[in-house]
Amino acid sequence: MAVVHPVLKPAPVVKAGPLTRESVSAYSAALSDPTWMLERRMEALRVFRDTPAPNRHDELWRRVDLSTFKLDQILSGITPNNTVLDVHRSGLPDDMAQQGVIFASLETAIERYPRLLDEWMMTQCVKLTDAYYAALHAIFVRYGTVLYVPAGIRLDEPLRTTIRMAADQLAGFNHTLIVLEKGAKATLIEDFASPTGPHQAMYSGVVEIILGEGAELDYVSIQDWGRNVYNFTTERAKVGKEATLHWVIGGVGSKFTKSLIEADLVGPRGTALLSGVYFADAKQQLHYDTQQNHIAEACKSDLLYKAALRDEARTVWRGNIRVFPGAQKTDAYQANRNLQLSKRSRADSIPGLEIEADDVRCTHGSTVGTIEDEPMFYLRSRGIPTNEAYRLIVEGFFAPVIERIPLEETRNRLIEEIGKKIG
Amino acid sequence: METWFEIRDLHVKIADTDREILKGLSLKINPGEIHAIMGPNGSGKSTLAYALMGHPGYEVTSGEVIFKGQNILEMEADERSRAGIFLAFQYPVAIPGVTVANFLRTAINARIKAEAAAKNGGVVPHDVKGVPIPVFTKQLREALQMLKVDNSFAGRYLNDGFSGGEKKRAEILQMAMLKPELAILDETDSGLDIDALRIVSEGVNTLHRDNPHMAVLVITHYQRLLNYIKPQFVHVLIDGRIVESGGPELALHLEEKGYDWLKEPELV
Repeated sequence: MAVVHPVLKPAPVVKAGPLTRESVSAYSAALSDPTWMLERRMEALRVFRDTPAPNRHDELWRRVDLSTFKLDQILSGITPNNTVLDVHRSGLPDDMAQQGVIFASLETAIERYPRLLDEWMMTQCVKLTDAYYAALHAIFVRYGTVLYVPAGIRLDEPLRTTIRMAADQLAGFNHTLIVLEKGAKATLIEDFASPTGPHQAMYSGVVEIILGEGAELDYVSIQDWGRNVYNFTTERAKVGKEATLHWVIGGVGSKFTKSLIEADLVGPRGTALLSGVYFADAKQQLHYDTQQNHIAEACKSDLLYKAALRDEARTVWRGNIRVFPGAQKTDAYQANRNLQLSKRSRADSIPGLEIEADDVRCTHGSTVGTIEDEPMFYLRSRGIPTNEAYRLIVEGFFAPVIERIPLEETRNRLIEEIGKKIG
Repeated sequence: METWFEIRDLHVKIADTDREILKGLSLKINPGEIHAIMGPNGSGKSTLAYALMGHPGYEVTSGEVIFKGQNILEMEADERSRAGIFLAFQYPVAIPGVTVANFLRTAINARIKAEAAAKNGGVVPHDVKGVPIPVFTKQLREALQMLKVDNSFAGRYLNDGFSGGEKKRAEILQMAMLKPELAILDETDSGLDIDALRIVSEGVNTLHRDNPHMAVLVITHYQRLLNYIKPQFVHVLIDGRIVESGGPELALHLEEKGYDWLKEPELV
């Protein structure tokens, strides 16, 4: 059936500022980029200019209110001095470095591992043409983490990064690139945060995960940006044959978040477990678009995203399972659960299935609920005051997802942030 | 003897309706006594249990309930609990994501905080500490052992996916940990097989033996439970009123004759 759109010029959600080759060259020069990096930025600029700004007719951006976001002002104001991030990495055991494991900053990788970046960075996983903000990211990309684990090497200790943006910064462009070769294993936990600054700021990040045959990765990212930050991320994993990805996202900060999160199951019998915990309050808007792409046969994907929202906050989850022709024996599941703690908050939950194979099992569920009277009465009948009963129920709502985080410290941090939001 | 617990002419209706369920119920209980209230379906047994605990779905239209000198009808449900009243639910509610242990510790600490606040002009002092973990763990282990459940029970989400028997054990576990002065058991035998019934009843009896001042109000349709938890006083509840009171023999009589002989002729 043909869908008739009204003949209107789509209103752009954002307006890009005057980005020029000259301004990007100056930015690149100030960072002492090698030539190939400058060329990458120029290519990104070209793609960015060719990419129409997201507009309200685009299904992905239909529910987004970015009327207050001054992207043009931010873009024309960007300098090397106001795009600074403070990134820290946990140490890598010596024996792991000797065995060829790389756990380095993007700057180090640009200097020492250009071939690695040439092969993997925004070439096979996230591409410039994937998203407006992916292209924008590639123009200004600065800071980030490269984790490369050679075949057969298994890291048992979790690796960690903290990414901090000072309150006075205008924009951040962090890149995460994880490549696990055949049979490799690792855990990476990333923690993004900033204090709330006095003016609008933007974060535009990219996460790329490439898992070879039988590789196993636990990846956790916690987002706690200040309430002045408009946060855009483009994140994709390519899961190879019999590889296992366990991917947890936590979101509590930012004024606005739009995250595109995609798992491509490209080799047979791969597994992707996608978990999400986010809590929006005040006038926060948190949008998550998830995509489970079953390209190879007999893969399993299981998504569980849980949101709580209060005050006038808004959350949108839009999830899609796509089963490509030939991806028989697919086992895919997606669920989004929303706990609405105020009448004025609004949660949208939009599951979707696109199935082009016939021997598959795909199910989804989405719910928007409130705290019910019976559990509250039950807890209160045990002497627990109303506010604590409320807290227990909200924490309990998130607990099954938080328990999937492999590091206690990170679990506790998230529980604490959620606790603060409950008030 | 001074009044310890007394229900005086209690009238209760379903909130937001005109349906009156309890129509002038009176009952007096002294410390340490075990009372049973028996009655057919629809007589108001569960309404009584919920109304005593302060369920918002039930509205008290008149009467009072005195407990240790206070009218508890003026108290919130959580205050009633902290004052020493416990209700073992007929249908315990699942609290997903909250473990049995976490829940119990929160409930015990709520008592500690409230006690500290009472001595501090109603404000919880900042330095108030909850129950020390080793003390709590020891108590919990003992209670689990008494109810013949594995320690892993404490790590499960409260009533979430529990069998009927597990739910009732969880209720008695809570009773053991919270140490009430007056325990109300609402149809605790429903949905239990004979082994579970025995374990749960023995649990209640053990708690009563350990704390002989604890009073127990057993609400039940069937006499079966009273073979295990032996009341000194039995009351028959029909159509919202207690129509007959007696000793344990009354329960046996009901078992034999049913409730019809107590109903008013026009209701039979």
